[in-house]
Formats: sequence, C-alpha cells, structure tokens
Amino acid sequence: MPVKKSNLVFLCFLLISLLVFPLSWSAAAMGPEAQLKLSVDKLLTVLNDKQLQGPEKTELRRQKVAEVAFSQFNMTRMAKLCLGRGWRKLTPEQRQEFTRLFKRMLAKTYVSTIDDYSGQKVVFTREIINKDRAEVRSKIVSDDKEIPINYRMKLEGDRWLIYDVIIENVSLVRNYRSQFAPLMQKKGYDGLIEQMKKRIKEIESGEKKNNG
Amino acid sequence: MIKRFCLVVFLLCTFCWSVTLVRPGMTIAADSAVADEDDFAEYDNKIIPVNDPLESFNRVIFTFNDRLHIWVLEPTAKVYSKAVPSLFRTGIRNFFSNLMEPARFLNCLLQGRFSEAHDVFLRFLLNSTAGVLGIMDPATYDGMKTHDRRFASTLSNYGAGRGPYLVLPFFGPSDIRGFFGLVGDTLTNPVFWTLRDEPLAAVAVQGGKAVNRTSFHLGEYQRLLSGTLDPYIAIRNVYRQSEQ
Repeated sequence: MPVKKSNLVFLCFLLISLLVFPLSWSAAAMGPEAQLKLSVDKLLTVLNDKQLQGPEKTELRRQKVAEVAFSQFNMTRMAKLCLGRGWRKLTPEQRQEFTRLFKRMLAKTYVSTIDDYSGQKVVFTREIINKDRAEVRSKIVSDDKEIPINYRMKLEGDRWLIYDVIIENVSLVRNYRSQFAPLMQKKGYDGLIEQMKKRIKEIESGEKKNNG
Repeated sequence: MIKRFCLVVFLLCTFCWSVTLVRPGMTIAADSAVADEDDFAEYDNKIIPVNDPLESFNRVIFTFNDRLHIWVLEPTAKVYSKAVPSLFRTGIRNFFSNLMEPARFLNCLLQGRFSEAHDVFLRFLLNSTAGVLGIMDPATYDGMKTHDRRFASTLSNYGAGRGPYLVLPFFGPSDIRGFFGLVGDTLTNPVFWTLRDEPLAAVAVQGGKAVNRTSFHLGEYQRLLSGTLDPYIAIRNVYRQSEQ
C-alpha cells in the first residue's frame, strides 16, 4: 500500500509539472546572462571564421556581427526611451522611421568597432533579475585595461532583450535622450530626422576615406 | 494523513510558484500606455539638471579642445604608440600615477578615510622601492587597491557643490568644483614643484603625459563622437553621468 501512495504523489507531481512547466519554463529556460553569453560565443564564431577574414570580407563580417548583436536588442524600446516623451506624439510611421534611422546610426557607429577585435575577453560578473527586468554586468578585459559594460534587459515573451547599454557607468539611453530632447524641441521631428540622416552620411563618407 | 497534508502543501507551493513565474510574461500583454509610462519613469527620475549658464563660452573652449585633440594629440599619440612599446608606455603612466600617491594619501586623510590612506601609503612605499620609482606596479599585482581620491572629492566631502558646468582648455569637461580640485591637485603634485621655475619643461611634461595617456585610448574619442548628434551635449552628459 505505501508504495502505491508514493506512486500517487509522484503521479500528481508529474501531472502538475506537465501543466506548470511548459508555461513557466518557456519564460525562464534561459537567464539573461546565459543568453548574452551564447550570443558572445556566436560573435566569436563569426570573428574566428576563416572564410570571413581579410579586408575584402569586412562588409560581410560586419553584417553578420550586426545580425547577431541586434538580435539581442529591442530596438523599438531603445529608440523610444532615447527619444523620451516626444515619442507619444509620433505617428506609427514616424516611430518606425525613427527606429530604423536610430538603429542604422548605432550600427554605423558601433559595429565597425569589432574590426579592432584582438583577443579581448568578455567576462560576465553579475546578473540581477527583478521580475521582468534584468541587469547583466560584464567587463571587456584586454591587456592594459578593463571596460565595464552593463546591459539592461526586459523579458519579452521567452527572450530577454536589451534596451540600454551602460558603458563605464554612462547609459547610452540617457546620453541620447539628452541630445534628442533639445533637438526635438528646437527643430521638431523633421529637423531631428534630417540631422540623423546627415550624421549617418558623414560616418559613411568617413568609412570610405578610411578604406580608400 | 500526514502524507495527504504534505501533498496539499506541495500542491499549494507549486501553484504559488507557477503563478510568480508566469507573471513576468503576462505584463507584456498589459495595456501599452501603462507600459510606456513605466518605461519612461525608469529614466525620468534620472534626468540630471543641466546647470550650464556658461554654455556659449564652454562651446568655444569645447571646439578648441576638440580640434586640439583631433589635429594634434591623436595623430601624435598614434605615431608615438607605434614607436614606443606598450610596456614602456605603461611604465610612464605608472611613474606619473605613483607621483600622485602622496596627494591621494593627503586627500584620504582630509576625507577621514584612514584605511584607504593606509592602503595608499603602502602602495607608494612598495611601488617606489620594489617598483623602481613607480615605473612598475607590484602593488596592484599584489592585489592592493588604488583609491584615486582627488582634491575635488575632498571639496565635495566638505560640502562644496558642483557648481556650473565648465569646459577647461586642455583639461576638458569639468565644473567649478572640478576647477578648484585641479588647482589643489596641481599644488600637491611634485612635478609642479620640481619644474616651477621652468615653465617650458612643465608644459612639455604635461604634453608628454597627455600623449602617453591618449596612446591607450586611440580612436575612442572619435568613436564616441561619431554616433552623436550634438557632440557638446553628448560629452557634457557623459561627464555628468560618470560624476554621479
């Protein structure tokens, strides 16, 4: 008899597990830090890929890097936070346009940094989770310096997505917000977009100068 | 009976647990306006008051520093970093940093941070002897911490406010307190006293230090600015954020 009873308990456990786990595990299967670690590994695979090396492959390499990196971001949320409350007054089309340009500006600015990669290590130091928000702390370690980089993430569906990057205690969102807000006030949405387009062009012509 | 009780408790626990776990995913479905409000609120209370009445003056100095960095400092540091191995450059950096340890010691004492003063004192002793006049840094290697307490932080300790934002020629972003801090740091810097009768040599040493420092951060300044729409505001914001 006692054997059967424990069997019953086990059965109940199994049943409840089946009911509960698919729901909860889908959300908690991978923590934010584990998820970022995975994409860092993916980036390293791209960088170490023999077929992607050499200056003539630069564009393709950057493209792959951008693909992996941006898959970890919620660009709409990030763009929204950077713009601040002015976001509310924008039409859906304007929001899309702004997000697209903002992403492009970030890509143009930061993706090329990967070309300077020379064996620096990414060390994850801490993970703080508060309900659907998380902060993952990491360091980029090279021979002569360490750069602390923290990621603010939000759980969306079953994935944690970055909405702010804090480099050496400086939040990207707060920094962009300090620039975007006065521009929006002074020149309006159209002026802001124009300036962003201008900046992207400047970065692109700088790239050409460096390559040629 | 006990087993049944255990089972009920177990069921209850599992239920509670599952509810707390599922919850994060549910908030996404919440009304998007409310979610917006939450998102903005996270950043609203972190907005730093600008306090920059001298903006037009600061912008002029900013442009001067900017040109100086891009046209003179960066190219020089680039050539220098290729000519001089990293080990040697680190030695120079360590040497000048070690000369500031007495000033750090003094500031630690003035701030009542006695255990930090103790650390700094030991670092100075070890690095000046075993580290050959501070060129090497065995103290850090031994796990001894640096405490970079400057005069500006001492002023802040005694209640001095930051004051308006101020861009200093050559030294970059600062504020009124930072300016007086710099004066204090200079007056406690042995290099200043050694070269006080030879202003040209002093300028050369300062320039050399700047080139050496920049050689560790090549291209970082341009990179930082390339993604900005208003470089002046961006740098001011970086300064304010990292000073918090």
